[in-house]
Amino acid sequence: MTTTGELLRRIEKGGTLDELAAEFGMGKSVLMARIEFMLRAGYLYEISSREGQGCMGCPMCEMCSVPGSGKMKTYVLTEKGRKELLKQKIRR
Amino acid sequence: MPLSVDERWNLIEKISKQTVEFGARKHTLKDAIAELTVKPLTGIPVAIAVLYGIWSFFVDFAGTLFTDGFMVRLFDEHWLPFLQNAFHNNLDNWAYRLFIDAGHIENGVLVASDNCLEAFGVLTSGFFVPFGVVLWAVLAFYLMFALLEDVGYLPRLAVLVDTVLHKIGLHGYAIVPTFLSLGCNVPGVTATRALETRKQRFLMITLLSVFVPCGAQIGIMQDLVPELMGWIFLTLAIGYLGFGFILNKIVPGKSPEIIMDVPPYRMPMMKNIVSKLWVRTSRFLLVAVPFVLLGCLIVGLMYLTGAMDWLATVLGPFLMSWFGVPEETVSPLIAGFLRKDLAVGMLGGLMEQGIMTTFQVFTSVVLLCIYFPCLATFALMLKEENWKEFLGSIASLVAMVLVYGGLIHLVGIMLEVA
Repeated sequence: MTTTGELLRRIEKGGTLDELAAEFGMGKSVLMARIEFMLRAGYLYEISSREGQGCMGCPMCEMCSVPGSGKMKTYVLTEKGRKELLKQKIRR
Repeated sequence: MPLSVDERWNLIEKISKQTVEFGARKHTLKDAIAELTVKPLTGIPVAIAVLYGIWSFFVDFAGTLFTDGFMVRLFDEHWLPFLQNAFHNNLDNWAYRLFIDAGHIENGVLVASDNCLEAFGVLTSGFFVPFGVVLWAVLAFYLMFALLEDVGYLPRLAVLVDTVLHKIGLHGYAIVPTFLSLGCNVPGVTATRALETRKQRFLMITLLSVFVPCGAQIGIMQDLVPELMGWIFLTLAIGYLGFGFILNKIVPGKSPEIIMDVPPYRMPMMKNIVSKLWVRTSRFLLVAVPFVLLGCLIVGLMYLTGAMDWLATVLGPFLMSWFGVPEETVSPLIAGFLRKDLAVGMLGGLMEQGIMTTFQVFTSVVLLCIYFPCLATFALMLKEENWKEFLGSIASLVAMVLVYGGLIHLVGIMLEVA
């Protein structure tokens, strides 16, 4: 399995970005770059980035700690990400 | 030959390792605290200490200092006697009984009340509940919540409870709507928008509206039955996790895992805290006060017209046999449709009249918490869920109340306290 596949597999299990960086022996900046890539490739999506959805229209948004406010970043695997992971698992 | 995506990434990593020099990273005190609050071994005791601190502040600031220290005296020793004297204690007049003092029966005689909680008039209980008790409870809770939010502790709490919440189909961030609901269920339900799937939102909204009491309710419960608070919270927590587990098994849909970026700790900003406190508290008052006044008016009218007695006669046998609570509980249950804090306050009157045993008080308070969301939360559920989900929430709610309420009664019978 490629590192991207391993990362997707680990993200599917949940946790924090710091844990992920430590487990893969990567600097957090490198991990963030890979996350950015996976976002652009459509394997992940950022919960707080969905404009017009969730509670982003709330007047308290700027002060809020709820993920939709954009302060705490959370990522989840997309259907495309799941398919890619499955493909890599089968290949292995 | 072109490189694959992973080969390119590996090359990037190799180049960056050879060309970029990373200085040794200093482990600061902030990092150490951050680690201590996330690792379960140290994080759980810290979480318990933080929650205990919040509770102590809540009880001392809202309960002891403001409610008992100032408000009870102001309302019971000045406001109620002032109104009673101004209107000549006229218990024969229906308007007086509706707006100032409904009175209560003692040895077969209708006598005047000596405190605002029992008086049950629109101008007495109607003002005492929101301004004398609830306002300070909500203020204390939102102050603590805003501090935790701004310091950056909430995401760490989310990481800590993630494993437990996954058992009920939610993830760690579900702690944010749960925590917010302890202030008021309305923003709690709104905060579920941040959850990932419809299944998670449905589970969270249903559990919030049943098992998470709002700050107003907690404040008045703490005022009336402080010795039972531990048992009440334990019962609600068991219900939250138990029914969450069952709902997760029967509700179709996905509960995907998420990966989160925990922000660093930071100093809270006074401006942020004050504006959060102002917005949340003022919104709460705008919603709460009209409903409390309306609740007092409706319940008062139902008493005056005899509708309450009729309902008590009709529903009394069921309430007594299934939940083990007296027929007098009907009136708080009806008031609870509008405001739960008002309903719990009405139980106080029944307790003082010696109508209920301690176990019946405990059962009634838990029943009031779980039997129906307040009107404002109910309206928001209608808005946030589609019809299918809304009907599902109501059906789950009815089933949970009947099963859990009956179960509590059964436990009481087995322990010979019911």
